[in-house]
Amino acid sequence: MPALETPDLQTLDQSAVDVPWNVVVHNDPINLMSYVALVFRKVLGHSKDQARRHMLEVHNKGRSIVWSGSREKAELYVQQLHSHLLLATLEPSTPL
Amino acid sequence: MTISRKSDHSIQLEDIPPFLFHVLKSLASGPRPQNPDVHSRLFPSPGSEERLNEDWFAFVQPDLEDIFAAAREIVAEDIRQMGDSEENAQLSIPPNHFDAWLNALNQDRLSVAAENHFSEADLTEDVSPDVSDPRSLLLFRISFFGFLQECLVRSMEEGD
Repeated sequence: MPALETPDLQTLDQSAVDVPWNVVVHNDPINLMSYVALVFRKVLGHSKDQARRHMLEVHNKGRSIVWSGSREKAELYVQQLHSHLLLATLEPSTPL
Repeated sequence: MTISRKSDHSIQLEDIPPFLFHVLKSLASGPRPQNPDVHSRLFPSPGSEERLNEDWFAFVQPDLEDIFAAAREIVAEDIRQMGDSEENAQLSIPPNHFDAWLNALNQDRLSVAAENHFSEADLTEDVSPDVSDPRSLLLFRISFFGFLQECLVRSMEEGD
């Protein structure tokens, strides 16, 4: 009986699957700065200072990474931020 | 017009001028998501992955539509309570409706800006409403609703 060929398969190790995902909020000229900070506190549990810092980063730099962690939770946060009409996206923290 | 916070923490708008009465009344009609620019602002893509975006629009967007509609419904009911008379019109926003109002006001402001392609510079113009100029009326609308949002946010922060 001929020996079976070893299949040429590659698998991702657990660290690749668990790569952190960033929740990014982008600037838009309509949303009020005070409202954006309020939403960060409500959705992401930011402190007043933390929310204000991220809000100013969005305003001054055009975007801010407001949260990093598992993809599933990042998707949930983006959904909640969209429900408050903020421009939010998710992206891997390092290219996959 | 006077805006005050009552002992029950509701926000009360009194002596609303006829012009603002009609601006507020028109909020109840809601945005026009069939406009592609409005639609893409109210329902933005969550990322650059094609698969993620497809799933998002299939499964998440309907939930967002429901959330936005629910907020507009609450606001429309408060606006109905204003009655139909411009005389001595007043509006009361109870604290448990603040979130809905913030959401509906934002839907409207974002939709008007997207539909009319207003730039950041347009939005920082000094806006005095000119009834003969539709553009000035729309910019005023965004500004007035932004002012109402600011009142609501401050009231919520004071309640912390």
